[in-house]
Amino acid sequence: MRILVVEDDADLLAGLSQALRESGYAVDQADEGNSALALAKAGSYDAIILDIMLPHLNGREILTQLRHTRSTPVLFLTACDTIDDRVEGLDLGADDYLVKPFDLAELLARVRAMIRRHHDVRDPVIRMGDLAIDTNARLVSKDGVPIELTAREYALVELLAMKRGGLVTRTFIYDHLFDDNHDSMSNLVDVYISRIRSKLGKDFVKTRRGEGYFVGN
Amino acid sequence: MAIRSLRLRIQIWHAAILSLVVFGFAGLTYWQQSSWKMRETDRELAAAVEVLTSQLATIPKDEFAALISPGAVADTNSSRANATWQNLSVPDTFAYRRVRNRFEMPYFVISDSTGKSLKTSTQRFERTPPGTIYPPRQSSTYVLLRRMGEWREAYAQGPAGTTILAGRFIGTDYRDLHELAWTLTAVGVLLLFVGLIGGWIVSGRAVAPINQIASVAETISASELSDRINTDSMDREFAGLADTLNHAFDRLESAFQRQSQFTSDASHELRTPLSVMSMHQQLALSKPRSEDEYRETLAVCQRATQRMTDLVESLLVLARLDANPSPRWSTVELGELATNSIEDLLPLAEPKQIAVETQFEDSVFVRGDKIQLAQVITNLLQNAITHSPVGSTIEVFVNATETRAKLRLVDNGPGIAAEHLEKIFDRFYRIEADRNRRESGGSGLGLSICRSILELHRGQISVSSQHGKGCQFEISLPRVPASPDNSAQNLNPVD
Repeated sequence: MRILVVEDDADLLAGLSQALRESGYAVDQADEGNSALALAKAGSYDAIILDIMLPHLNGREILTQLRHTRSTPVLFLTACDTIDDRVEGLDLGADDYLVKPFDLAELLARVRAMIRRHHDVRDPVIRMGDLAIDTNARLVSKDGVPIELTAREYALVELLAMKRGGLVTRTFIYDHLFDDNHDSMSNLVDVYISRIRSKLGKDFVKTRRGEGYFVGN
Repeated sequence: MAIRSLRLRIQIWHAAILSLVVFGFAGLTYWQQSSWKMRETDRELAAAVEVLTSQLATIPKDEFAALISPGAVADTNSSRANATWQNLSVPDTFAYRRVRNRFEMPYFVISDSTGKSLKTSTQRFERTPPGTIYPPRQSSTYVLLRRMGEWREAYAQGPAGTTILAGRFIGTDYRDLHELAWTLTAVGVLLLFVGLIGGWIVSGRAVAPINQIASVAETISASELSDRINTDSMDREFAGLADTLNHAFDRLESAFQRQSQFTSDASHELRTPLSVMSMHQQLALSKPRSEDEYRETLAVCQRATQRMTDLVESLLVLARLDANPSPRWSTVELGELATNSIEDLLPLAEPKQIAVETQFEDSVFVRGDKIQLAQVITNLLQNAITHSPVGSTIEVFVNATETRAKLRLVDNGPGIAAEHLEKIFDRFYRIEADRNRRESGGSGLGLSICRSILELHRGQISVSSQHGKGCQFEISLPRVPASPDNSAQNLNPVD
């Protein structure tokens, strides 16, 4: 899962990015409005954490413009704490609203919930046959036995599980698994796919040659 | 005991004035009516006396003397004089009033000088004739009047020492007047009553807007300051009062808004460093970290703490300036003050290779708080250093006119766009593009502190700038002559 964090305070931006990366997300950063809007429009993010008071273009304007083209889940993370601020933020099309100072665990839970809603997943534990993917604990177990996965492998499993029943292209996987800091080749996706196949079983993900990957229900 | 109800007081005054008018008018009417009646009666009687006198005048003197002599026999005298004497009468025309009984007919008595009655009219009343009239008058037409109870009489000197008296019963007139008095009293009381009820209603309507104003004013509280008294259908006098109150509410509301804006801005400014601290602490504690990571967390927290400390300091300075502005007044040399501030800030300017050039006029003295004025110069200079590009020059001028001392600070920074110029002295106003505090490091309060301090010193601060070409701040203070006594004095020129 790839997340864009927009925050003008450098310390807060760094901390947020680190916390999200440690939770297994790919994270891009922006510290002012214009670049944030450009990133949000161009990139394929699973969620955006957006401050309101920003230089050049404020969070509300970014969200308004973004909503013309994209339905990316957006969480406002702001010091604007009045009821009017919250109502306005949510009515502009934000998916969630969290007031500073905030609790890190709560922020992460809200991001998870937002991503689940976006993929129309209700149960935080996704069950597929004998596999159970606990998106909160970030654990995959087969027949009740935990399977050891790296953070990146888990992120790929979760992404595929969220997209189950549909075709997933390699570009899509690449875009959602790696942030802009990553300059690896896109064939890295194939490497990760083969790794999770060996750990979860060959049938977990099927290859559609020339199109991408498919995960059944 | 003072009556505190306006309405009651109006009513009492109204009642007093109304009764004065009503009863004054009634009294005047009564007096006019009665004196008119009496005058009428008197004229009538005087005329009767004159008629009698003129009738007697037709009798020759000697015949008349014989006629009235004691023991005169009626028949013996000449028939003409006798006939006149016998038919002596007050003409009916004088009883023109509607006569209710015979008493009201005028009567007459002719008596001799001893008071003995010689001749009376048919309606003769058992009443004492006036006897000799004092003072005796020669003029036969002189009529004296006397009032005797319910009778009114007029008399005059007749021929041969006789007295001619004509009278009339006026009891009926008195009863008429009494009736009139009662009618006037009854109508007066009724008028007064109606007037008082009307007055009570009118005064009630007159004070109704006051109650309306009061009830609206009562609903206006700290939470509901947006209500206003509706003056559309109000009389001019009350509309003025209501407008005054509305203006007071306006000022109150804007003061409240400024206050709550300030509080919300202050809490907003505190939230970001608080978030930074709490965020990094939670992150650090979420799993075991290396020593370097802990160090980094502590460094971040320290920066956040510093920011909060600066902010709280600034807030305290502002709060003190707002609440208890008591500068330690002394006479300050502006150039000297500026020199000190510049020296203090040179360590900030040196890493950016910024040169500070000064051009100070000598002996420019102002009165003020040394520390506060130094703070103004420091704040301005600090802003200039922060925003100036590396290697640029900042110029500081001190000069004076007859009455004002001026300090001007010119930098070659990016300048300030016109739309921001008016607002930069507002609390927490920060130019959008300059929100990255890591660079500017400001709390957004520095310039408002400058303005507050200068207001306290009866000074002004102004700014002019062209975007992209630097900006120029100027402070102006009342100039004072150089004082040999540079020590603190407790004279406060503001109050």
